[in-house]
Amino acid sequence: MPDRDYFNSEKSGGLVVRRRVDALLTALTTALFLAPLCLIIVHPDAFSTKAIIGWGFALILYSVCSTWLYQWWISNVERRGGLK
Amino acid sequence: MKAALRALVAICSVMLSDEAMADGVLQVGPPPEPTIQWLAIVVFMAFVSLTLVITYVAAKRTGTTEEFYSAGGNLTGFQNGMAIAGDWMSAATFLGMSGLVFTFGLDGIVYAIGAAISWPVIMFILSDRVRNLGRHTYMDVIAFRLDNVAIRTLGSFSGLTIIFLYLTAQMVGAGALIQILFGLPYWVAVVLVGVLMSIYVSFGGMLATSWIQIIKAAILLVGGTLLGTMALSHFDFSLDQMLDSARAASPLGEDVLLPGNLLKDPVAAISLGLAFLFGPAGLPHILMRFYTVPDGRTARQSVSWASLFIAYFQIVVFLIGLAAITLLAGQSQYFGADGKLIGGANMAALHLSDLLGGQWLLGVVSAVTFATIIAVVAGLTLSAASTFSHDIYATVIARGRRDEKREILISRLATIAVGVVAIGLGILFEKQNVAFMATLSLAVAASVNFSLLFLSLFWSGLTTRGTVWGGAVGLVSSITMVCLSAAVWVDILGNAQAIFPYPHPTIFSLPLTLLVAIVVSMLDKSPRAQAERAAYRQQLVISEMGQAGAKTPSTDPSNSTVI
Repeated sequence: MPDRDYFNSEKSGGLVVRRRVDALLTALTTALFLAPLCLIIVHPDAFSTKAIIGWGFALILYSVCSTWLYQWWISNVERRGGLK
Repeated sequence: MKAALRALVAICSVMLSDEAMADGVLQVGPPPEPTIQWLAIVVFMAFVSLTLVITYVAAKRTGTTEEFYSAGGNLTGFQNGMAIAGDWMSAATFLGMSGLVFTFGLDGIVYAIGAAISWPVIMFILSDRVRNLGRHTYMDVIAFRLDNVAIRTLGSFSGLTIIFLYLTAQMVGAGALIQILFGLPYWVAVVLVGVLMSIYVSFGGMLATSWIQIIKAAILLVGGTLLGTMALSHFDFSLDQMLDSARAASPLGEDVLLPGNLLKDPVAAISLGLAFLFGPAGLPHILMRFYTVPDGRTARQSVSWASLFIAYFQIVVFLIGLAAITLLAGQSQYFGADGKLIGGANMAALHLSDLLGGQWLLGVVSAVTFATIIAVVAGLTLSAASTFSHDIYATVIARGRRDEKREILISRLATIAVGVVAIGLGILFEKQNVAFMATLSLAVAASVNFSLLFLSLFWSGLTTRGTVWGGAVGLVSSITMVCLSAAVWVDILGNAQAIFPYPHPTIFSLPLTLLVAIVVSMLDKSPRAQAERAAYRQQLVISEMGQAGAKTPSTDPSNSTVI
């Protein structure tokens, strides 16, 4: 049974790193959505229409780009670890 | 024409089975007498004919449980991505969200984001791990190292609750739409939809359902692009021009493009946001899609493709809603004597298609809408049938003594039973405002399914007892809060004031589920709990790295403990 060292090693492609990245990205995604949303509701006059639409479109674009970039990165991690 | 449009809108207003309609704020017009839309019928019959051919071909290739539940696990990332997008993009996404933007303006952008933002979360946390650990349903994952019978019994309650809520709203909308297209009585229309979806699923299983979703997603994307392009061309494809025109044309004036028309309370907004972020990650019919591909890597590719299609569609629909504010203004033929859009705001996209392309475009868009509904109900039905056959029968009743042929028979019988129940619910709820079901289904999915999936994947301390208690509390609390909210307590039950002051319970029910599951697990000192904690390491290895040499991982449903 692989131990903690295994998950840190090249053999596993650094999967421990992956789990930390996953947690970070999930928190980031949640914050990018909820934090500005709260600000917009609490201070509606502070943001222009274009700024809000820009935030919305940027977040939608982020949802696509993040999935593709993440997939590319994790595929490389797996390839380095010989997991593919 | 106007009568048909009124009916189409009234119908579409109840097809609000996803987040776009979670607030149930759109107005529903009275359903007029049915009028036949011949072009829509022709396009729709072409779609049905094609899907029946697909079902026939798929039926010949569906003989094992692997093929019935997961299409043999051989879909490519692109194909499955399209199918996931097809499962997610319901009629409410198209008509409901554009109607939301038409009515409330800028706040509609939150719903556009909401439909797209969950996919990165699914990619980061779930997709390949769910694929690596499971076989047919998401409960394979939660039950991997926990007691199968207890977990699947709980999961069946939450999963079927979500599915039937979704299904009812879709059936009500679909029945009414068919009523208009064919001039049939409502109950006949509902029966027709129920029979169609039962045929697709019972004969073709996941293979037929997947290809129907793929085709539907393609025609929905093409239809939306066509309508969006025609609409935007009126503004020379200039966002500035569109925004200026909307301000001038909207009854709300400048306020239409300011925040606060729909979302006014930060607690409600966060609750809605949490439902958007984590609800899709707990939907049974979405999670089931990850088992149609050969491995975790392809599951991730599926999510990437799905996010691309969904994100594009959300932007198009948002722009359609914005364009409708200007283009429909002053077109009195689409407004009633009360100055409101005929049939309600959900009609905005259909009115717009009529305005820009006449009856041919209206017919095409109507048929696309109906195809969307049929495909979604087929996916939901398959998920429900799989819950009955794989989770309840094979695990809880048969206790792992699997007979593949019998399991497929049970699946097909369950499909017919789900179809009958769906027809009954569709007829029962004909006159009801079913928009609250959208709120409830996402809330339950986020609070129960996602929470427990998350804990089972990332916390070694989770035990069966904690899972069952946490899930039960989450299920009861989310249902109770929605029933005590304005959507049910006031709008349906006629009380003066809501007991639960928010429309969305997720901000309360999701943390409550996690808290109860964690506390009960920590207090569980039984030998079984110790074994379950010790088994986490094996689960971790398999979830991260897949089962070595296996294309479809083996999850023995009789396994109650894992060494």
